[in-house]
Amino acid sequence: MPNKPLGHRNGYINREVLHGDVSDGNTFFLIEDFKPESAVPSPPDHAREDWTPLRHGMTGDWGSAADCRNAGEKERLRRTVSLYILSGK
Amino acid sequence: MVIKDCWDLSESSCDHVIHEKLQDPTRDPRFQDFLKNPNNPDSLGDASADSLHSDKLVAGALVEPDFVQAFITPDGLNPWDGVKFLRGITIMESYMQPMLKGRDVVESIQSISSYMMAPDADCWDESDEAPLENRYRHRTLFSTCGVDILWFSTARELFHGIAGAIIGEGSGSRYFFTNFS
Repeated sequence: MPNKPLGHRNGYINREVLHGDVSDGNTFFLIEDFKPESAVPSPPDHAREDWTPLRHGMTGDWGSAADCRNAGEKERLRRTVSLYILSGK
Repeated sequence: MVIKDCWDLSESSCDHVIHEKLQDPTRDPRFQDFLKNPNNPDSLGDASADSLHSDKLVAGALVEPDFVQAFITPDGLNPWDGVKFLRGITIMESYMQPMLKGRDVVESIQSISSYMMAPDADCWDESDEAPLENRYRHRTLFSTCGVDILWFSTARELFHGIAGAIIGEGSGSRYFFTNFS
């Protein structure tokens, strides 16, 4: 999960690309494969009571991002969060 | 592997164009600084500011391709190398634009509708408002698989995520507001 904002940070600071929709719909937990045991990991044998998966987070759907080196693209990027968040619901 | 199949508004504004930029280490300002002044250790920036990938790794890998291998520490499921693939960003493997069968034309609403209609039919009148919104088909292949962030397993994992998000957004937004406010 800390990788999620880190992905945005890396995209903007290290590539000058700003994402156009920072929302839960574009935030993912990284999994190894499309298998039930990857999507919902089980505790290992003899796991401690406070065990938790702590999976990596990542940002997807970069198609809505803007190249900040391109003034026109940056201008067109009118929002960086989803419309749902802007609506205040 | 994940395939994303989209109908985009333009041929140039799509996932693969952005991902090529995201996976281009030469866009990294630290690398540009390094090229300008390779002998100055300060030009590599402060690696401690982002402990998850090193500035030296970026510069070193571009100067000497094998350099990166010595620094990557596999931790099980970690597809990012910190140089080409930055942590927290989905990794694009390849992309394509499907072509119309038997024709050397990319798939778009315009090309498909023209193909389906009779040659003399006025299906796409350029002089008037287009009857259909034109869109272009793009397919992008990603090597990173993910599940929805709301599928957190335990309360501890959720709190860990919130804490990390606050710290991460803090470092990102400080830079943003310093430069654009």
